[in-house]
Amino acid sequence: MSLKRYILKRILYSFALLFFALTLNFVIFRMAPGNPIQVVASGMRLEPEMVERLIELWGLQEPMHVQYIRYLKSTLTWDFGYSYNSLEPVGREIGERLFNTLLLMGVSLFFAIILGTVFGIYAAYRRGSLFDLTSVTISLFSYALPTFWMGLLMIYIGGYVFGLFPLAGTMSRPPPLDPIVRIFDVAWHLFLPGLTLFLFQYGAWLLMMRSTLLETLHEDYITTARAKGVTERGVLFKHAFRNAMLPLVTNIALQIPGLLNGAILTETVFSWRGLGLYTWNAIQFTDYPVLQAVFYIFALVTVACNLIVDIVYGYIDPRIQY
Amino acid sequence: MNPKRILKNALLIALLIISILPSIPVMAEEETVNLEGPWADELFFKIYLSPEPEYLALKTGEINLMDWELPAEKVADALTDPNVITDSTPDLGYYQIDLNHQRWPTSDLHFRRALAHLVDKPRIETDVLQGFGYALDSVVPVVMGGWSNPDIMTYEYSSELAAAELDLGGFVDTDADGIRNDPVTGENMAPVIFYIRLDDPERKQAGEWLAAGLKALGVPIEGELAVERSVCSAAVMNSAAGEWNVYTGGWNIGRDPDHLTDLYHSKEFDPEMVGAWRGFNYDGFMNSTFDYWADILKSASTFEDTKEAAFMCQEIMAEQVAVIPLYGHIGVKAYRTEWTGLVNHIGTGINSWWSTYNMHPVDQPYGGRIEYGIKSDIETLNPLTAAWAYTWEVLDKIYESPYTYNPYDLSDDWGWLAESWEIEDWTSPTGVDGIKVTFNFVEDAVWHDGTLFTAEDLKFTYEYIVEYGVPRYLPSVQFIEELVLVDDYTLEVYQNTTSYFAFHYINGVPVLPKHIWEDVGAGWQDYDPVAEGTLIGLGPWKFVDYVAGEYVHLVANEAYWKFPDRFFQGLSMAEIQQAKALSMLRAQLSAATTATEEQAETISELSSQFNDFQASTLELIESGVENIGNLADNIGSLDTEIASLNSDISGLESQTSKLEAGLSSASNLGYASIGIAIIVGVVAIFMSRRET
Repeated sequence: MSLKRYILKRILYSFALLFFALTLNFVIFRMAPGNPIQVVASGMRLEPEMVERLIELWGLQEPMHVQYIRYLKSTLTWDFGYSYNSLEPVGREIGERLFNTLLLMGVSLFFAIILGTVFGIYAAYRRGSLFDLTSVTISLFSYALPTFWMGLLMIYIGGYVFGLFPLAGTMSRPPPLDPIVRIFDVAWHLFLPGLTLFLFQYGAWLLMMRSTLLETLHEDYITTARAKGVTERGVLFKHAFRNAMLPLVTNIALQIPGLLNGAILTETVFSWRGLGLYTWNAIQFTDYPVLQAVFYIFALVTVACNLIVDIVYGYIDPRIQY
Repeated sequence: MNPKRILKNALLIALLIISILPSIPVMAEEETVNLEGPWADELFFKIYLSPEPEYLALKTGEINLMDWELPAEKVADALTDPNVITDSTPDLGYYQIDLNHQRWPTSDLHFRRALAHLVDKPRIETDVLQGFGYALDSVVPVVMGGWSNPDIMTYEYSSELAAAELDLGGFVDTDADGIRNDPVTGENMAPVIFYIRLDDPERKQAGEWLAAGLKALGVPIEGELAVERSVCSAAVMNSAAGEWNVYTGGWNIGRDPDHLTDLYHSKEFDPEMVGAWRGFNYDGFMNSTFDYWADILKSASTFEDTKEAAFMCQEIMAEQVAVIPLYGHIGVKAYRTEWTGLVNHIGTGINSWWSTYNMHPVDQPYGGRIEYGIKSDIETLNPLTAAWAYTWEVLDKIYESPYTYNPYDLSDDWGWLAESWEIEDWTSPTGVDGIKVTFNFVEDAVWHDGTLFTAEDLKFTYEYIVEYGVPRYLPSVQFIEELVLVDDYTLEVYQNTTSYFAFHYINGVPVLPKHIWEDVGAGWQDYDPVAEGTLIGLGPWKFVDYVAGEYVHLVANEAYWKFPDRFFQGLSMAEIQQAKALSMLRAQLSAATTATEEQAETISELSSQFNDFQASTLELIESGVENIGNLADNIGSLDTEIASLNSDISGLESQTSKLEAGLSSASNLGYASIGIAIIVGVVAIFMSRRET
């Protein structure tokens, strides 16, 4: 099988998976308990004609297969309908929040990967040293702590006791007018939530890098390289690290969808207006259009990341059979 | 129950109450409202999406006021913070034990009464609510003032009375196996099905105690384990066969007791509905006498008739144990000590509309920026789609409704945009009885863009909602039959219902500016007033800026018809402040000048009086001196005269003494003569008698 055919096969497989996720997304919410009319009425008593009007507005009167086709069409065209709660277009609401989530996730993930990998390599290289022991202990500790608790601790110490960082939000209120100052202002607000999410991921990256590298360092080809007289630096980076990168790449791709979920708590605690918080509110208020849209995006990101990993593996791992 | 625990809880509650009492601000105690406002310059909403940072922001002074109710541990902390003031108010809502009237044995009155006797409300108050709630006997909580009937039947907590009621209903353990027998089948009772909400610890505890109490009396229980909200709603409210007996429910209510009809009238229960919403009366309470009064409650046109109906509904509900009312919540909220003038609105608390309207810094009569923390994002600032309560925290400052009401007495309507109104009976052309409301509006209300408000705007708002079927406001306009514009400031609203509450229904809309919304037309749902720059209202606060998830900035509307000091209308806030400062200086100067002039006049008068007095005094003195000289001369001549007189007197005295001596000798001579004459006479008489 050629690489091209392999990629095509993976793409088709991803589309099938996405279609299955979309269908499941539709069925689950139709089976769930609760009534969207009740959500909108929020305790008010609505006359029958009003209920009919709302049913018509959301197309709930149509047969299930018609609703399904309409759902598929609207989802694929990025038209998620209106939120039951805010009655605003869901696509617009998601768009407003996406940047904040990507910023928070991106920054924390970037530093977690860089620092986790670097310290993981060093800890593996200096296995058994004080640095290794300290790194592993700290990593286990930060990885084990609940995100929301760590977030509250950060707010209390960094924001309230020392007053070094803001207690909430993504910017000063009102924000500075100068664009440069504004960038620094956002970075200042990003520090505590970013640090919380960083600590949550950093430990996992360090431990994974360390264990993968330790495993690689015991491979025969490493012994061979050493026997050939390759320097320790060369052994570490040219032989061991390159081979240890495969699970790292897999993990990066798989962590992104997981991070969307992890951001829910961090965003809630720090009043960081992103997709995580949006999802949390939608769950609380049985806002089906929002949940459908968010879950669709989660599914899309997961499938896309898997596809990318598959394709990248095709290039970097010679063991892959087409 | 453990006596130590009772004592501990009692002490905690006492401490809490004692702690809260001194913290109630003067404003709340006096229950006063200033109808003029706003007094602050700016209102700045800061959005905190979780309560912890919001509370810390209050403590650091980042915000002055917060919307979030403090939990017990935060109240204790807030009370020890010298910069924070707390105040409490009961919520507009209640929690209750729902009973399925359509399923045995909760369909039996004695069984329901037995359950009512098993609810230990004092214990719920002390152990569960711990000072943050109060026990209820009626589903019209006392916070609703005059609507709450204080004389309904109550059920004392007593397992003996509960057992007696069970016996009375025939639920007797005839075979002595520890389980009561069913009076219909004679067999052991089938388990009573409980649904207890897991997501609410207070209701969970109350439900579990009730289940335990019932079990102790020999009634088998099933499903007493707590379940999640959505499971409850599916099982209780949508259940095809009504497979439940007891549920721990709760409702938020409005300021009118019309929920008695909406939630418990038999027409609100649909037994035929399978697997879907069975209606608000999911208890299936069917009582024709109750229905009769519930219908009157919704159709009576006077307060007295409506109140009587509300009282009767409560009486019947209590007698029939339609539900078992449990408790109402008391919420504690906090603000910073640097501010004053807050209004503790019943059912809302100190973060009320009236607070932002009245509050000002302690050290100045007006001005300042209110930093108000709210615990949720603003979903949209479109008044037609906004449903979220926190969004309305902002929108109700920008938009106005026709009239308002007393924050300390929810049944007391106050004139506002409509400064007065008349309510009359009316019969529609089709013969339906209804009411006609004639609104008389103020003539100086101006939209934030400077356009003059007229009654046409409200007429347009009602018509717009009906035409485009805006869901949120359809209940408000559902009875409107006709709208007649009498003149620019008078609107007649004809409703095809006689309900006393119908007047309140039509107040539930924000008045929209016709000159803006008539161009929006059918696109109301996608309309974004912020993006279009048309977030224009009549309210006391004007929109400035909004950053999603961060803040909303409003500024005082200086053209508001109740804005303090109308003289300053049309000026910017900075100009108003300068003008006010200048005006105060002028007033002081004028007062000082007037005072000086008055003083000068007085001084002049006094001076003139003094001069006159001085002149007259001098004259008097001069004449006095002259007189004194004359007098001295006179005295001298008088002295001479006196001396001569004295000599005369002494001469006279010597003459007098001489005369006296002469007179004395003369008198002696006289006496002697008289004596001789008497003797001579006697001798003569004697001698004459002898002769005769």
